[in-house]
This record gives sequence, structure tokens and C-alpha cells, in this order.
Amino acid sequence: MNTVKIALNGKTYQAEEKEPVLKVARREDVDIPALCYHEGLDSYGACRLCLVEVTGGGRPGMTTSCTLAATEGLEVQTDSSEIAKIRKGLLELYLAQAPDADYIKELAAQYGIKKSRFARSREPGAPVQKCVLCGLCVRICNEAIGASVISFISRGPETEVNSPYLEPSPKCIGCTACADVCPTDVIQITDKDGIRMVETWSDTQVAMKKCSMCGAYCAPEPLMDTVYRGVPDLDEEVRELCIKCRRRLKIRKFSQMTK
Amino acid sequence: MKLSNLDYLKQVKQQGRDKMFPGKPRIAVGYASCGIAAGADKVYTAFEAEIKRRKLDVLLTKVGCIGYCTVEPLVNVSMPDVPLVIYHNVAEDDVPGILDGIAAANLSRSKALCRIESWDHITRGNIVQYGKGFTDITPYAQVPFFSKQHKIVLRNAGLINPEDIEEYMAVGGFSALHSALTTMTPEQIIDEVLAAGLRGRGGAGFPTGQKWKFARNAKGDTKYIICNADEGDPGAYMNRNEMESDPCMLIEGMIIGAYAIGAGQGIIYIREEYPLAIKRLQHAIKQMQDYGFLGRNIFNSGFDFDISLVKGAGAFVCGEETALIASIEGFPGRSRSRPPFPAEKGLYTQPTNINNVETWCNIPVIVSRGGGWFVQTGTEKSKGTKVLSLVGKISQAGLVEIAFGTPIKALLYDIGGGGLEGRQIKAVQTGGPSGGCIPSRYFESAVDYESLAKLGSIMGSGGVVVVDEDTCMVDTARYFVDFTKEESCGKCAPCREGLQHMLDILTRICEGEGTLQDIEVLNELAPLIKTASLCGLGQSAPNPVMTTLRYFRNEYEDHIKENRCRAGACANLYLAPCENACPIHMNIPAYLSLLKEDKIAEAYASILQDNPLPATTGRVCHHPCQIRCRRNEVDDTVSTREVHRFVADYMSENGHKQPKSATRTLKKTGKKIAIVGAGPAGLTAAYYLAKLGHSVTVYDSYPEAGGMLAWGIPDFRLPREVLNREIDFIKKAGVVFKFGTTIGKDKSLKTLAKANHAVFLAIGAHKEMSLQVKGEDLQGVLSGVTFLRDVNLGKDVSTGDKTVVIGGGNVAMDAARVAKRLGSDVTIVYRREKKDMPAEEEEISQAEEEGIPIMTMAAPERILGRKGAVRGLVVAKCEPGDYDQSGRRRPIPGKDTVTIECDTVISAIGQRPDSDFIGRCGIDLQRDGTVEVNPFTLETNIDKVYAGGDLVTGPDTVSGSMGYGKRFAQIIDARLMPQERTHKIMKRFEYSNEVSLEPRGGDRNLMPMVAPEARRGNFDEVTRRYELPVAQVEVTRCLRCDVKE
Repeated sequence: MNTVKIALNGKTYQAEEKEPVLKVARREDVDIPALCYHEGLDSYGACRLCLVEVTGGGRPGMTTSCTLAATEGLEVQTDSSEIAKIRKGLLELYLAQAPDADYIKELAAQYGIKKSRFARSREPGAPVQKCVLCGLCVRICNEAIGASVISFISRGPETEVNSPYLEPSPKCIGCTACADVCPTDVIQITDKDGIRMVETWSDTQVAMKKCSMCGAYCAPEPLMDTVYRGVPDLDEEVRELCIKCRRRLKIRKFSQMTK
Repeated sequence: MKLSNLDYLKQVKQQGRDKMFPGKPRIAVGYASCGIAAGADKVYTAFEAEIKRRKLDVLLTKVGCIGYCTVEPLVNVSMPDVPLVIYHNVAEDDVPGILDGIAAANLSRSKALCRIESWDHITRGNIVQYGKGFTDITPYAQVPFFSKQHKIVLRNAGLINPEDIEEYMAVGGFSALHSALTTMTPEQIIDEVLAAGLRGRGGAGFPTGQKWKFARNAKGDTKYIICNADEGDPGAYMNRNEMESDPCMLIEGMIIGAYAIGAGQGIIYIREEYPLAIKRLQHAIKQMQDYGFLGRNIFNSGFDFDISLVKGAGAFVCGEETALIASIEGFPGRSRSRPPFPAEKGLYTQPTNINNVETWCNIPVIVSRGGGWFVQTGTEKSKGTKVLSLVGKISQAGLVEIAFGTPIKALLYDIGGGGLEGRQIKAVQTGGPSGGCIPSRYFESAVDYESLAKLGSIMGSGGVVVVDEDTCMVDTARYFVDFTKEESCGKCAPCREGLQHMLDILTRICEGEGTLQDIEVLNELAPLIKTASLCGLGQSAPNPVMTTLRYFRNEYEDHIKENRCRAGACANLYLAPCENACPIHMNIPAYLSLLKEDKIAEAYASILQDNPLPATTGRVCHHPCQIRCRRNEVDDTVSTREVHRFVADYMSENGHKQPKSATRTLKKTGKKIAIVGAGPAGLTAAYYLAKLGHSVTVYDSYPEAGGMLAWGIPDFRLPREVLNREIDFIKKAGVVFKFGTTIGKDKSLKTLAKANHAVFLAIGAHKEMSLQVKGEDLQGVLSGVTFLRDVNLGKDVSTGDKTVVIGGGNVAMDAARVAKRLGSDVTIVYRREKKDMPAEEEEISQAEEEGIPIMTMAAPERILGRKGAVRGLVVAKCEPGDYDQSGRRRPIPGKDTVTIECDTVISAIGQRPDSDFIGRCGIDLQRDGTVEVNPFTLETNIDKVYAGGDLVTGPDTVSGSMGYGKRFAQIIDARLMPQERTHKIMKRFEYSNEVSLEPRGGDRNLMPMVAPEARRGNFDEVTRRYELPVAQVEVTRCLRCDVKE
């Protein structure tokens, strides 16, 4: 991999060639807000918050830093009054879209916005609005996990994320990666009575595995199957145990050996 | 049967020629979707049956569309050695007549649009000759719709059978492909396209040659080319016709492009909603595969290429290239960010080149004639031609092809024939939902990429939607934002969320709920969406809002500040089209309904509440209500003006006093208001202010009230006693008049402003404009308004034996008719065409009835004199010149002159305010003598001083001036008083809201008129009021647009 030099706000940094500028900025502690970026996934360029301005060494103009590849001599401005104005405008839109999302409120406050002019009136008891449609959940489920449980439904302002036909999905392996990457804490998952319930995805249910030793529910069955597929040599006996019991078993075996 | 050698190619070409020139009559019906919609299928079937019945030896076939949609169905008829004749508006009934003509070897002239003797199909050496003759039929090049067009892409459309590849070859098809594959290298082809300066016709205008170069140089196992045929702008159908009328041209262009780029596979991404285009393309692909133009080793060149069709489900965003690629790959149509550009990483991650249909269509001719030939057409940066779909409020709609650089006005007025039904064009919307609205004052601008961008719009794919005064620009912006919001893919927030908020705001404004803050928010939101959106859809979606805000901000403000939609498009903001058009907003449906219900006294009360001068306006109003009346769409307008005249006359003739409600005033407020000018604006303001309890004094230089109504309109149109009767009512309401006082001369404006709470300047426009010709100072040269005033004042005015009146407005008509009545022989001279005359139609026709000839296209050049007196007028004959902003052609005086013998010349070419005195008082005057006011508050530059009427607008209409008076009363009352009170002088009338499902009342009832002979030598009124039963029938004709539920 070639190393290149790029300038962020006039200061030079080392970067891998073609590495997203946003990734470099994050590494070097240059603050660029973003909702739809994740290092483990392909850049998506949808939230538009990471817009920066290329001022030299490339096609000049505004572009998203997550899709901007580092090239030798690239000069980028990450924070100007123009950029701040756009981010402010975007955050006002997000605040109206997801008035209950703490992270959005925090970001908006950073940019001096307390209230969005676009806020819609809501009846008391109206459903919680947190999703900003950044697509991280969809992408992690499809691209990284490979389960494809959820996708975007409809288009334009009607867009939402859910399982097909708004029915519980049989494909979910209960990995909770979607909830882990969600920047606004939208996805509700609860474990109860041997069932992992993903309420947000049309009450998708995943059965939990019972430890054959202690009887506790340890992990979703399909998740464990997926994991075990990667480790075919694993002891049959171990497969049926929860982590604690595995440790116990290991200690027991070890002590037996030393005896 | 692969065509690999040139001789064989020539042989097939000859077969095609034999089909176009079968040695016997050929009837070709224009058979594209537009033609079929107009009935071409029925016409075709009728020809088929009739030819069979008559056992005629005639070739019946189908062609595409030549573009003249307004006059479809079109039928081409050709016979050996005579010109091809195109028939328009052909119906089944016309079939026998056309066949008779063919049988008689003398083609029918009925519905013949034009003749074509020869046609240049442009690809080298392919001029086809039809024949000469039929010289009485207009040649193609002289049909206005065609004359300013420049056909390159559409050169075959409407002349060849799109379902027969041999006819395409007959006019030079595939010769470019042959020479490209057998004599040129891919680089040479790209160089030729670069030399042609061809730019993408899909909208963005990126140089095609460069795009090809990127794709050629990109590394990849397989390369693709794609034709973007996902045409989806509302009102745009360029690509549809290109594919339906000449599918082979598109495919030939693609094969050449594929060879240049090195692509092995081509895809045409076409919307499912174009079934005929799909069918013809599939057919063409099949034929081309059979002939070996597609497939392996084309023309033995070793080049392999094939094309498949992918049908899109009609998502607008799939016209964006990355979304289009996603759609072909089977994913939802959502855009992704570029780079990487498709040339690098496109379809299935391979290098891909995407061009619009029309871009591909330009390729064969560029290869055939060379880039050097191509650049001869167009402007410096926009080369070649553009196909546009000219639609909306235009008289001749259709698909036109113009050279880049053609001015917008040539497109609209020469080709399009001007606004629909002669109405004035307000703006054009180019580029569909991504484009902008261009107002008429920029119609001088050229149609090309740069000029349109400079105006804030875009070239786009070629949709040109014409809008007139009936179109609300806020509503137009709302329509387009609603469209883009619906079609947004939803991936990025600015487009998805921003457009929704934008739509909410626009909807609010259209419903009369908007605030000025909303305009500011739109002004912030629009650039945010433009800069922050991911793809072209979002980046261009705010354009309609931005351009309408830039050019039509007044319309936004009208909606917000005045709750008014002048176009009558925003249903919440008006009662009915007639009421909305009326400058004083009379509740027309109310008095029509009350009269229908036999409540004539109430009808009168309702009329008087809205209009203090009903018998007057009932005679001389320019009736915008009737122009907007929806009954026009059934037969003719409801005679609203005549009905309120009837009510006013009938009530007064039958001794009914004015209803109490009309003279009842509110408690005295102690506020004093001075009004300068006792014309329609001043009188109306005075009446309402007096009713509201204010003390009103009206000053006027003349000895009586009425202004132009009294001094400018002759008795035979408005009898003085009728006007005086109505002025008396106003006096009864407590208005004090001070005549013979000129403000600025006899009394200063300062004193007036000091002594009053407000001053309203409404002095009208009484000063005649100068002719600026030699001899104007001769004895016998009179000014129209002075002439009419002197007659009305009872002065002894003599005209000689022969009078020439110069001008085309109401003053000119009145002056001519007065002079005629005084015994002179009168001619009217007007410099433009008759249809351009600003006078009312009925005034013109009445003048003509009275024996006054009108000489049009004649400009006065000099007045001849003898011993200081007029002896004649020399006029220059004019030729119609360029179109001005109003869509009328400027008269250009030529060398030919005519001398009209006369002893009196009356000049009535327009007036201006006689405002010198008030100008000296410190009021800022415009160059034309008018006063600029704040359009919403009517304030002038001096505190407490307001202005309205002709003084502000320049010479306008009676009701227009009254509208100013009424608004002034409302504005000033709201300013001086703590709370809204105008509703206290307005009563609600009860009337039926029943609407019949069928139009009733039959034809329009015209007012009785005195016969022209009986009008001679007297000033008796020419029109008579309705009789009661007639009026009561006339009112039933109202369609009751005010009833909304």
C-alpha cells in the first residue's frame, strides 16, 4: 500500500492511498460529523454531514469526505462557515425527522440548534421518532453479516427500514449488529424466555440456545450455527455449552488431567 | 442474410427506395403514439377499407411523426413526379376526398398542410426528389411551424416507415456505420465526435467525445454502453418520438459508439410506459440482427456487438445514471455517489458509457458528414440542434428541432404561433422538474446550455412548457416539488427531508396560510438541497422554486400578503374565476344567483356593496371576468357585465331608490382624508371611506366629477346622466367635492398632507403622448383626449371634412366615432396588425359598423401642411418585424408610403399622467410621469401620501383604477383604526348554491344595439339594456364555479 500526504485544514497528514478522507480525519482527531459512516463497511455518502471542501489537488468543490479518496497532495477544508451552514441546515432537517434521537440533539446543539424550524407538531403519545435512515443497519446486515433481514422500503419521504412485507423475518440470526451500529439507538431488542425479540423488525423472533449443562439461555441458535460453521473442528460437547460452562468444563478437564 | 459487402448494401437500399417510391400512389399515415391518440389508427383503417372497396392500386403504409402535434392526424400522400403532400387534421370523413384526388391525379387541396418537392436526408448524397407541381399548396419551408426549425435528428421522422429497416437504408441509413467500421479506427471516431463538439442531450451537456474517451481508456474485461431512454419529465416526449419515428438511427449511433469505446454489449434502458417505442426498437433490433448489423463480425470488421432492451418501471430517479445502473442490475433505483464514475466502474463494476437517446441519434450524421460540418450549426459552445417538446399554453404545440442559439421568442412566436387562444405568454419552464421558469422579459435569450443556465434554468432533456396568466407560478413550483419529492429515492436527507418541507411550505402559501418568513426559509432551503444532495435529482429539484422566487416573487407575496392568486389556480384563495379576475372583486355569482331567484333588489344591493358605479362599469368595463369565465369552454361567456348594467338601469328606471345599505355610513371617526382626482379611483376610494365614517374631500381640476369617465368617454358609450346618477349616490354618502382645484398649483400637497390623516393621489393619465413626426404643430392636429374632453365639455369643436385618427386604443376608437358623428369622413391608422389593437373588440367592430375604415400596418411618417393647416398625412407601410415582450410583432416601416388627404389629424397613441404639478411637490416621478408606490401599501415617497390608478399604472382600465381606490380605502382604514372594520359595511347575502349538472340557458344573449344607420349624427347610446326575461335567462348560464362542495 502506498502512503500519500494530504492536507486537512492546512495541516499535513499521512494516509494510505485511496483511503477515505473521513477515516484519516477520525484517526487524526479532526472532527467531522457523520451518521452513515462505518470503517467496516463501504462508504455510502448518504447522510451528507461529512461534506468537506476540496481546495486543491483534486476536483474542487463540496463532496462527502467518506467517499473522497486520499490522493497525493489533496487539500481539504473540513470546517468553513459555508460547511458549517450546510451542516446546520442538515441537522435542522434531522432534528425534525428524529426529534427523539439523543445523538442528533447533541450534534445539533454543537452547531447551535436547539429547535428545528421544520419540526412537525406531534400528538402526545405519538410513536418515538429516532431513525435518520442512515442505512448502517441495512448495510451491516447485508454486507457484513450476510443475513439480509432488512432493507429500505418505499422511497422519498416514505422511506423506512424493516423486514420484507413488515413480517417477522426467518433470516435473522439475532446477532444485534444492527442495534450496535445504530447511531440513534432506534433498534429495540429484548431477550425473554428463550426468545430474542427484535421488535423494530416487525417483532422478528430468534430462538436462544439452552446450555446443556446449566440450562441458561446463552446465545441465539442461528448465530451460534453461523459461528460454528466457521470452526468445524470444535468439540461436539463444547458446542452445547454456554461460555461459563465451557470454562467450567475446561477447568474440570484440566484438573482431571493434572490429577 | 448478412450484409457484408457494399454492393449488397446498395441493393437493399434500392429495395427501400422502391418502397418509398413504389411507382404508384403511396399513402403514409403518421403513426406515432401522438398520432394514434389523435385518431391515426381510425384513419388508417378507413383508408384500408376504402382502398379495398375501390380496388385501388395504392401503397398504404405507416410513418412516424413529423412533429406538428396540434394538427394530427397527419397523412402523407405521394405520387410519381408530383410533390409529397401532407394533410393535417385528417378524419375518417376526409379519406374519400383524398382518394378521389389520387384517382384524379390531382391531389385534394382540402386540409393540405404543405407540399414537399425534395427532402435532404443529410447523410451524404441522400436528397430525395418527389416532384414539382401543386404550387398553390404552401411549400413545407413556408409553414410557420416548420420554417424556423432545423432538422438534423428528426430528418427522417414522419417520412419513412419506422418499422422497415430498408426505408431507413433508403435515406442513407447504415452508410455511416459501414464507413466507421471499415475505414475508421475507434480513435478517429472519437476525434470526430470531439471535433463536432457534441454535448450530452440528456440535460447536463457533458462533452460526449470526452466521455467516450474515458470509457475507451478505462481498464476492464467487458465494457458496456447504455442508452438512457428513461424519459420522464412531465410534458417532455422528445426521446419517445425519436425512437418511435426512427429507431434505427439510435441503434446505428450506438453501434458506432460501441466500436469507438470497445464495448461488446449495449443496453437500451427504456421506460415501460413507451410500448410503441419498445415494439419498434425490438423490431429494429431483430431486423438488424438478421442483416448482420448486430451480432458477430459486423461488416467483416471483426467487431462483435449486440443490444438488449431493459424496461424500467417508471421511476424518475432511474434517469440518473448510477440509479439507472442499479436498476439494470436488479437493485432498487437509488443513486450512489460519484466518483467512481460509470466510465471507470459502471454496470456490474465494468467500464460503462451512458448517453441519452438523442445523443446517440446525433452520431451517424457526425460520422457521415464530419465534425466540421456539424459545428456549422449552433453557437460557440453548443453545437448542432436540440429537439424540444413545445407544450402547454401555446397555439401550435409539438416536437420541434431548432439550432442551438435560436432565440426563445422565435421558438414561441414563430414556431409555436404565440400563446393559446391569443393569450399572452408569461413564462416558459424548461428542463422539467429540474429546470426553471424563464419570464417573458428574457425571451430574447437564446436556447443553448449556457444561456439557459445563466437564467437559472437548464437545457434539460428538452421539455418546454409554456405558461400564461392563468398559470400560478407558486402553484407551478409546488407541482414540480411535489413531483420530485414523490420521485426522490430517499437515500440522502436534503432531498428526502428537504423537499418534503419545501412542499409543505409551498402548499401552505398556495392555501393562503403562508408567511413572509416562509419565503426566507425557502431561500435558505433551496441552496441547501442544491449543494448537499447526493445526485442530480436533488441537486436540481429546487430550481423551479429558485427561479420562481427570483422572477415571480410578487406572486409569492400576493399569496402571502393579500391572500390572492391572480392566476386563479390556488382554489382556496378565490371565490370564482370571474371574481378573482375582477379588479374590485365583485361577487358575481351572488348577483347572478339573486337575479335568477327573482330577488332583483337584493341583487342590486349586492352589486352596490362591491361597486359604487355599476351602471357605468356595466357599460365600459373591459370585463376581465368574461375572459376568465369557464362558460367559455362550453360556448361563450356569461354576460356578467351586461347583467349588472341591467340590474342598475332597471332599478333606477323603475324608481327604486338606492338601497339604504348603500348610503348608510358607520359612526364618524373624526379622521380626515383628502383625495386628489375625482376619477374612478378617487370616487371609489371616497365612497368606501365615507361609508366607513371618515370625512372625505375630493379635489379635482375640472368642474365636475368623473375624470376620464366624464371627459374621455363619449355619451354614446356612457351617457352623462348615467354617470351623474351614480356620482350623486357617492355625494349622498357624505363625500365633499372641491372642483377647479389643482393640487400643486392652487393648493400645495404639503398643506393637504398636514390637514389630513392621509392623501390619495389619483389624478389619472390625461396627457396625450406626442407623435414625434414632422407637422405636428400644424393647425388641425388634435390630441385624442383633448378632442374628446372638449366635445364632452360642450365646446364647439369642429373637425374638417376628412379626419385621420392615429392609434389603436379605446381613445382612438372613441375619437374616430365622435368625429364621424360630427360629420367628418374618418379613417383610423394603426401601425400594427388588427389583432394587436388594444381597444376592446366591440369598440373596434362598432367603429367599423359605423363606416370607419381601419388601415393597419401603417406608421405615420409626416403630416403635410398648406398655409399652416393640415392637408394630408403620409404613412409608411409596415412589415411585421421581430416579436416584442408582449408577443406582438414590432412594425417596421418600409419604403412604400401612402398619402391620405385630410384636414384633421387626431393623435391618440397613448396617454401619460399629467403629473408635473405633483412632481414639483416632491413626489418622485418615473420617466413616463407615473408614480412608483409600494405595491402592497400604496405608499409614495412622502409620508401620509398614497397613490393609485392610472397615475401608478399608466393608462389602464376603469375597473383597474377602481380596484386601487377600493384597496386604498381598506389599507387606510386598517392604518387609522384600531381594528378591522371593512366587514361592517359588507353584508352576506343568502342565495341558492344549487348547481345543475348540465350547462343551462342556451346561447349567450347579446345586448340589443341601435342599428349603425340610426347612430349617424347623434350621440344617443348605442347599446340597450336587456329586457328582464332575457336577463333572467342569461343568469342561468352561470356554471357556479363558486360552489365548491
